[in-house]
Order: sequence, then structure tokens, then C-alpha cells
Amino acid sequence: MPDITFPTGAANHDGADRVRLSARIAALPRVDRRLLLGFVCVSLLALVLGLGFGLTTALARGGMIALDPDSAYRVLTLHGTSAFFWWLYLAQVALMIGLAAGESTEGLKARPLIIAGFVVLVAGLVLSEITALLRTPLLYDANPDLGREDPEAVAGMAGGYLLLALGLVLTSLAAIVTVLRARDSVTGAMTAMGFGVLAWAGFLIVSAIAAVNAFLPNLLWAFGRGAFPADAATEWHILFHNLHYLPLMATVLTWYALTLETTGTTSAFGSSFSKVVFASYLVFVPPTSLYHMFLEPNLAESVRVTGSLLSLFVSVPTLTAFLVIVSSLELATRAKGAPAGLFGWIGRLPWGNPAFSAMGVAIVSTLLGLVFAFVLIQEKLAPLISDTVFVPGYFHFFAVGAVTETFLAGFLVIIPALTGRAVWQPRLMAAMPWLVLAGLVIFGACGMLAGLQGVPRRTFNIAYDGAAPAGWLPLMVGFAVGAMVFASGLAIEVFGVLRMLVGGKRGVPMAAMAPRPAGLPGGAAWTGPVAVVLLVVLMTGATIGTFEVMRSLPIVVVGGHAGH
Amino acid sequence: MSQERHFTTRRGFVAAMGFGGLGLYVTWAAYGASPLPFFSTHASDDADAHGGHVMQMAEDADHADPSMTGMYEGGPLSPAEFMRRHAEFLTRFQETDGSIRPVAASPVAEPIEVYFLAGRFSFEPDRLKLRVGQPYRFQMMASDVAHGASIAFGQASRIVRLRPDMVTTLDLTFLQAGTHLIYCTVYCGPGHDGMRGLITVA
Repeated sequence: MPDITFPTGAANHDGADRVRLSARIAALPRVDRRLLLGFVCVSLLALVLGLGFGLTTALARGGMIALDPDSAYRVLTLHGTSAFFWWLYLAQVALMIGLAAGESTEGLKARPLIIAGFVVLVAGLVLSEITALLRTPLLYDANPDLGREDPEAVAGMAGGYLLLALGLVLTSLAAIVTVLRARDSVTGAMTAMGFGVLAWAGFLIVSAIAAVNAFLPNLLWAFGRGAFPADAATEWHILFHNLHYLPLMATVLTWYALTLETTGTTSAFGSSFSKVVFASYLVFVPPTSLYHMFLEPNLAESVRVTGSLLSLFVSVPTLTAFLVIVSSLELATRAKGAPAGLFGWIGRLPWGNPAFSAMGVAIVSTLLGLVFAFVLIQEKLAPLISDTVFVPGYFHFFAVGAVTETFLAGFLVIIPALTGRAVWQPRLMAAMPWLVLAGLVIFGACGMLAGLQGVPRRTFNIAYDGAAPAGWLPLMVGFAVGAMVFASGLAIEVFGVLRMLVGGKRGVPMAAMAPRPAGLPGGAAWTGPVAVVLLVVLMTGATIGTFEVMRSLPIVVVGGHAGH
Repeated sequence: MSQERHFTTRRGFVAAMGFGGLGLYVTWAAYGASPLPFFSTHASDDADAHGGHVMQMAEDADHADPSMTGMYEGGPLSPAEFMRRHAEFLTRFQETDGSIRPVAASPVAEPIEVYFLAGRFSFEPDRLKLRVGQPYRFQMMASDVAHGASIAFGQASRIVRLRPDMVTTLDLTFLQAGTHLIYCTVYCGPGHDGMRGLITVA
């Protein structure tokens, strides 16, 4: 089959009259399309594994199935490893190189790096899964303390993650080369999306270096070539912070692409402002990492205070990107004649498009997650909720509702372009993200309430022979029910995506609106700012509620710090 | 019709709104938990605002008796010294039913020392009997891998994370009678689910 060449002269730097992403992806050389499909398939495999092990974990936590301790913590390790490391990062690679390739008129550059990256990443996935399946369960952070008697487990987990780091570096370098070569041949300028991909790839490389810093000492110890990694917990915290913000940055970049693809709307604030927003992740995220360590007994008080203060800034890039996208959509939709009133325009958005529906749910879920994430950044509240099931209760709003829904939305755009197959059951696929959100609300509400009552995050049998508070188990049953609901919706979405890969009907991709500039001059966009004000009010309410719970404890407490 | 941008669509406005999360600082300050001195209300200023359940903030420890931060006789309490005192504590205060009931040698206001060791997969002591209103100074340490020690109060719990060979100090005064589960909150191995104890306050 002859390669389709990208029409020359189609790209400019504002994006308003560019050929839409799906058309650019469809026009990629065959080898690039196959590479992209390869990454999509492997990432979906990781998602299926993560979802299956995650649901099993939740059912066991709710007492609906019985697992012996070894099996329970093995399943938990497999869930975290498959979902957090492999799904989120393989999907990022697929979307990153897809967006990078879309910037170029000639497809991907440095293909050997991408092919090598693919091989390395698949090897890493296999090594991680086999180790987690067969050796001592170390949980997803591959804690070497738990593997002192099983160095092979430490080596396998560290080795898998180091291969992930190498694969990220190889594919990120290829994305960078592709974007740099796609710059305008006359002015040297690049699009906002091209700039975003550069920042994303750079952040991935920095995280890969942090992964080497965290896991190489573990590997050397396991091979008898180094001392026991006594600082493993600290190195993990540094890595972990980057690891869980990177998918959020990728999410925001994908929102930009999806907004243009599904509604034809470009930013009302210009390409330069979008570049500033993307770059701001690099400014605001790394210094805000300390809040993960508030319970560490050896953390100096000054560091705790600084950490709490800096953590207030962690939402700045995401909230700004949210405002840019929502305000641009509002202006564009009102310009088309949407009804007056504060929120009437929202109903005119293309909710029947599964990709847009998933993105919409992702935005709502991000805001819900932010409400409760800010309870955790206050160091005084850490002794109440850190290490409890409050943490998975809130972070699944991000991991599933925001990031996974966004990545699947991205797949719903690029897979039809790669395979020529239509989206399977579009109406059902557009409804499923809302089912996922409903499940997440149940899961999150029960999990966070259980966490506030003290249910530990990583303990399967919480009965303690009848000594546990009576309220714990009913809340954990609700937690499991919520997981069943959102896992059902997610499973149907994944099935729909797989149908586009295998056996689906041939057809055209979901229609996108023609690209057009956002907004009327002089038009107002109130929805985004009102949502931010509401968010701050809800964050304040959640924080006050948690402070009040802490004050209700019938104890006077001073200290909790180490002197040695 | 004006062709100027409405203020809600100006970049400066959107950038400023992006910092909306900082609004939470006011709430922190109201609870005496602000990281900076601006508008800060010290926790002790609103003491007894909730039925006598005072939550003193952790920074108080840094400005109080150095012994509260694990410093003794000019130096830190070493793991070896902790183990020696822990063994002595268990021997001295053990009851006939195996529980530990620490009492002061004389009626003084100073906190009574409690030495609490977490190891795979038990706490030592695992049954403590304490008195309402009596201040206790918990000296805690993990002996092998990281552990957690959380005391359940029904409506909420109070968590401490413990690292191997690192003595953590916590002053606790129980204000109500009751029996409280104490349990490990950091996964420490296959016996983690069974790692628990009881604190009886009378």
C-alpha cells in the first residue's frame, strides 16, 4: 500500500486552519501508523491488567472475595505496577509520539529510537509483571526493605522500571527530534502543541533520570554490587511526585488537542499563552513534592512548613489550562448562537462524540479530585489521613476519571485514523464515561469517609478480630461497589476501543467541527471563573471539615518527630 | 459594540484565576496552620474551643522542652539506648495479665515515658493501660522495616509513621476513657494485617 503524503503548506502556527489531528495521523507513513498502533495495543494490555487487578483488590477490600495475605498483596502490587507505571506511561508514549508525528509533514523522525524504545518498554512490562506475579510482593514502589530475603524480587521490579525509564528516554528523544524538525522552515517557530510536546518529552526524560536514581541502587544491591539502599524511601518520593504529575500534564495537552479535534475550537488566548501554561508545569510541579513526606519522622519542621506553602501552587498550571479551554469553548459556542445564561452553552457542546464526552468527564473529575487533594497538602492534617484509604479514594478521580478517560479519548481520535475503522457504538461509548464518573463518586465518597475514620490504605483484613470501629466495613463495601461501577464502565470503553483495533466496521472517524477561532470580540466567559470560585469554596469546606474531625479527637498531641 | 476583550477573557485575569488554590491559605490561617506568619492565629490562642479538645500543633514541639524532640542529656536517644529502656520499661510495668500499666514513681506533672516498639508483625507492648488526663511521652521506634502506628478513636484515627532505628517522640494525653485499637498503617509484609494492639484508657 503506498504511503499517503501529508499535504504541504497545511500547517501554520495558530492552528486555526490546520488539517485536524485525525487527518494528519491518517496521513502518516505506514510504518509510523504501525508503530503508533503497537504502543496503543501494549498500553491497552497494561490497562486491562491494571483494571482487572484493581477490581480484584477493591472487592477484597470490601470483603466480597477472600484472598490470603500473599495473594492479596500480590494482586495489589500487580494493580499498581500495571496501572500506574505501565498503562499511564505507555499511553503517554503513544499519545506523545502521535502528537509529535502530527506536527510533521513527513511523519516521525529518529524511528530507530522509537523502535528500540518499543522493544525496551515491552521487555520492561514483561519483566515487571512476571516479577510481581512470581516473587515476593513489594507493592508498586518496589520497596527493597520488603525484599531483603528475596533480592530477585528487588532486581526484577527495579529492572522493569529501569527499562521503562530507558524506553521513555528513547521515545522522548525521538519526539523531540520530530517536533524540532517540524518547525517552520522560514521562521523557525513551532505550534503551541509542538512546544507542549517538547516540554512533555523533557519532563519524561527528567522523570526517567529520577527513576534511575531511585531504582539503580536497588538493582545494584540485588546483584551484590552495592550497599543496601537505605535512602530508597526518599528517592521514591522524589520520583513519585514527578510520576503522578506527568500524566496530568499529558492530560492537559491532550485536552488542547481534543478541543480542536472535536469542536474545532482554538485557544482564545493565543498560542504564546498556551506555551506559557505548558512551561509552567516545569516551574510549579518539581518544588511541590514535599507533601508526600509529611508523615516521615525525620523531616525537619522547616521543610514541612515550606512544603505546605509550596504545595498551594501545585494546581496553578492545571487550573490555568482549565480556564483557557473552558473559556475558549464558551466563547466559540456562544459565537455559534448558544442560548444566553451562564451555563446554557454547555448543552450545545458535542456530548454525543465519545471522545468529547470522555474529555468532559475528565475535566469534571479533575475538579472533584482537586477539592480533596488540597486537604492532603496541609501538613497538620497528614497524621489524620495520610496512609489511609482516603488517598486512593481521592486519587482515582485523577488516575481514572481525569487521566485514563483523557487518554482513552485520545485513542478514540487516533485509532480510527490509524485503522480506518469507525468508533464502536458511539452512543454507548459517549455514555460510559458518565457511568465511570458515577462509580468514582461512590468509590471516592466511601473511600474518603473511611479514610477519615482511619481505615488503613494497604490492609486487606480490617476487622482486627472485632476490635475495629463498626463503621469501617460498611464504608469499604461502598468503596468496592463504587469500584465495580466504574470498572464496568471502563471495561466497556476498553472493549469499544479494542473493537476499533480488531473486527470493527470500516468507516469515517467521528465528525469534527471545522477549525475556527474562538469567540466574539467583547464576549464574556464566566463559566470557567465561576467554576474556579466554586472549587475554592469546596476545597475550603473539605479542609474545614477535616480540621474539625481532627479537633474532635479526644486527645492532646504534641510532636511526632524524630530526634535521631 | 466594543471590540475590546471582556475582562474574563484577558490573559491576566485567567492567569490570576489560575492561582485560585492559594485562597485556601486563609482557612489554614484560621486554624493556626498557616505556613507563614501572615494572618496566623496560633493554635493555643483558640484553646478549648471545642469542649476542651485542644489540638496543639506540631511546631510547638520545636519551641518547647528539647526532650520532646527525642533529645536527652544533650544528645539524641540512640536506638541502642531506646532498646535498653524499652526492655526495662516492659519489665518494670508488666501486669499479671501481660499488659503494661506505666505509672509515675511520684505524683509529678511530667509526662510518663512509654517505650513502644514496632516490628514484624507485632507491637511491644501490645496491651497498654493508661489513665485519663495523664500526659504520656511515647518514645517509638521500628526495629526492622518501616511501620505505622495508628490509634483508632472511632470517628477518626491518629497516625505516626515509624522508621527503623529512628526514635520518634509523641506526647499524648487521653481526655476520655475507652478502649482503642492500635494498628500498623504501613505495609510491612505478609503478617501486616494482624499487627495490632489495644490501648485501654480508664
